[in-house]
Amino acid sequence: MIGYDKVDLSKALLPLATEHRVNGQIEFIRGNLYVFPYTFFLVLIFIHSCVPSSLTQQLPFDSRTFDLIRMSCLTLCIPTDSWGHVFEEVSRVLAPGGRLELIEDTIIFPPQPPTTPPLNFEYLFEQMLTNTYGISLHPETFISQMMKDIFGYGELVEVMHLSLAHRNPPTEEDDRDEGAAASEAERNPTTGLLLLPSTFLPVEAEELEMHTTRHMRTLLSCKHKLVEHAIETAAEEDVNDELVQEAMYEYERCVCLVLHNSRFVDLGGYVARCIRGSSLYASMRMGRC
Amino acid sequence: MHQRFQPIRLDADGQVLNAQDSSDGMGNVRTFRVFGAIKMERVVFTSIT
Repeated sequence: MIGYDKVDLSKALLPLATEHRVNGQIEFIRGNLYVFPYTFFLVLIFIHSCVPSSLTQQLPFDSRTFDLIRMSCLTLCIPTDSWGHVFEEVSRVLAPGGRLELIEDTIIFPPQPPTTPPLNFEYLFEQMLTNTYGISLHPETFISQMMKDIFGYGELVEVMHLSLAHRNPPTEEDDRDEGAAASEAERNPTTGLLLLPSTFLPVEAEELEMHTTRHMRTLLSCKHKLVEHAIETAAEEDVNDELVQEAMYEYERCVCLVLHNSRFVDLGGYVARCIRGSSLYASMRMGRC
Repeated sequence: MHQRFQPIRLDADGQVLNAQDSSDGMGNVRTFRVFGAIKMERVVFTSIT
């Protein structure tokens, strides 16, 4: 089994591989499928053997090498007009009858983010990806057909929805007994996500936060480019670097608040460790900052 | 335009209360689509004259 990515994850995953007694069967190769000006990373897990080498335009593997290739979360990494090249390369290194599994993550943001008119960073983020980098935010609209054309067979196999659920808002009676409610939450900090329709997946609070703020943090990872884009595309003349930086600081601050203040989520993924009645607590319960 | 998630509300028995939101995808924190492809053997037809 071979992992291929721009970031070397092998050390972090070594304990898991050792636990499953497969660490001697795993190899990791660091590389890019092609040079991309902004950011690009590719996750492939190949089952078979390979010939490692440096690369720019091609995967560093012989043709017809692998029985299974798994790729995940590439929506933000591949410009629309490059998907064909990626699939052609994957097809080349797949053995006849070999399979490709591709998992794509839809971009979903928490509701009602802070905005400083006329700045809506999430809208600007999408606009920048589409117009500047040619990245489609909805590759699911063309992936299946492209797979059929290149591999001979390709289908959307499954759609999985993960939801953050919470119980009804506390009643006035509950609010009077804040201590008891907080104590119960501390005793039972069960966290998780609901795999619709009815499967509860236990998830630690920190990981839950990672899921809910994933695309906010992706946005922040390219904030310098986003600030430039906001200034370049602003219609109003008073949109300057200072205003945009201040608005970006507010956006970043709200992600930090979510990450550093919510540590316990009760049954159903309801943030519990906050000061009851505060505006911060109320807004975090609604999934916003 | 991207999606936004709305928290799903559960009653005391853990049942989903706002079923409409959950059924239309508004409750989703993350949505994963799994695609599958198989590299088919290419068959080349030649005519014999």
